[in-house]
Amino acid sequence: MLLRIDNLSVSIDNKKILNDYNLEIKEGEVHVIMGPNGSGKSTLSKAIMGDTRYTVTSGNIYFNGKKLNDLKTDERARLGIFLAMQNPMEIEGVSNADFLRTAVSIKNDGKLNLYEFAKNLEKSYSNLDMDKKMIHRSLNVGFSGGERKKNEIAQMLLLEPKLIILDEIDSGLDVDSLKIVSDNINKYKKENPKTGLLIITHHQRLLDHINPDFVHIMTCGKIAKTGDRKLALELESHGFNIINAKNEQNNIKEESSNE
Amino acid sequence: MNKIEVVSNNLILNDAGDIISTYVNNDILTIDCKSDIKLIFINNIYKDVVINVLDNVALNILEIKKEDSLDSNYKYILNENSKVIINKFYYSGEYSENVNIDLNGYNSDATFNLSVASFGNQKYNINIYHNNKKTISNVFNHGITFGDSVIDFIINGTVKKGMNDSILNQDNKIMIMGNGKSSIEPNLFIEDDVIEARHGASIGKFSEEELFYLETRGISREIGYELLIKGFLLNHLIIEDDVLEELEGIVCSLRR
Repeated sequence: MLLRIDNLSVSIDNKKILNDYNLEIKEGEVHVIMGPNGSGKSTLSKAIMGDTRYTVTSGNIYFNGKKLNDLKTDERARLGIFLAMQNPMEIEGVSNADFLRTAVSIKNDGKLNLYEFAKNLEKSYSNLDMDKKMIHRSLNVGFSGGERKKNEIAQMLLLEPKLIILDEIDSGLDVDSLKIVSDNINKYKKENPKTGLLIITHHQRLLDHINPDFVHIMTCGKIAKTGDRKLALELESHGFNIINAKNEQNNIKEESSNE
Repeated sequence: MNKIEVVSNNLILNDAGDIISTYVNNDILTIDCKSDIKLIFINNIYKDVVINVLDNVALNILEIKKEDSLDSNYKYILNENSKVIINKFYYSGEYSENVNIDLNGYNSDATFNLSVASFGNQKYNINIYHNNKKTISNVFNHGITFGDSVIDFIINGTVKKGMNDSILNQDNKIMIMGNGKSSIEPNLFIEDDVIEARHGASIGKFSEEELFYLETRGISREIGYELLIKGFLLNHLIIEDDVLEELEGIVCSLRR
């Protein structure tokens, strides 16, 4: 099992966001999380990465059998978990090249072939149709929304993770950029078939490009329904009423049995 | 470009020839720059330094101060069409410095980039006088305080009546790594109506969001701080690669 989340509850500022959450991702699987705003999708990604602003009140997270709860964020990342963020940070003064050189060097236990690194970096920028001059600019500073998302994927390609979490990677991307980003993710996945993907999105249009094994719909900090790609299409057509209808049916059943 | 170095109190002249003249009178070091030149000050111990930039001269200054230094006063006098770029990198304890930049000549242009890593109480009083028309000043001060250390930046930009079409930019930032209370006073005293002026000041800490972002790429908090400090102190300096490399080494050792 690549990722296993057991009965995870997470709070921020004493407000419970994830509630007894469970999820399992096997090697090579593509899971999609959809859900209304505030349902806890991004909190899930931050909790997996160990963001200290989120408090795990109960439950466990395992990656390749190793318990993550007590590991720091950078330790989790070095195990091979990569989070492509919804809003990638702008960091003035820290160049993309310097930042990535540091990250790749740490990943390789301090060893770095500068020529290989520069070649790979340029190649990833080229594959993502990004201007190579951006390599030497401050991290995400002055980048458009789409460029920032592409920059996340460039980082992903260089860091070669085993589990990729894409938090709304499709927001801010135009049609062409979405295809470029998806093609790069698919190519990476093809070359690294054991890599797992956890995609958080509001729209099924990303799934036109990346084929999911499972689609989960989250509400109120829990998975309310799981299906395949058809579930995403159903959601696109009918909205979150499909969950509400299911809940109402359950309530009716419960009331009948009580009577 | 010709180069002159001032290491402690020794002048090292490299083919300076007629390009500059230097003299010391009453412990005041005066340098007249007559042609384009680069000046390097390493641990300058002259209390008073006057640099006079003659008409049409481009001057580039790099100053590095390590460890504790005596308080200093600098005066830069710019004449017609002269241009000065001043880059200063200091890391030290107790220190104070007064800087006067006199933009006396028409179309004179000064850029002042200061980076400070402070381990004591430090005060910088920077005065820019736009004494002629179409003069430009760009002042960028970045300071980091460690432990209980303090930095006070006081920046006064003055434009007299009639000195129209001048441009003033000020950007001042202090990052606090400890508990000291620092301050910034960014002042603009403008008597003319046809002026372009901006000033900004911020004091704060590196954000948790920035550190988290770096950590998600496998970079530890310690190395993340190093990257942020390096970017903050060095990015705005206009310096050559070999100097940058030397300063990067210094910055990486600051928190150890």
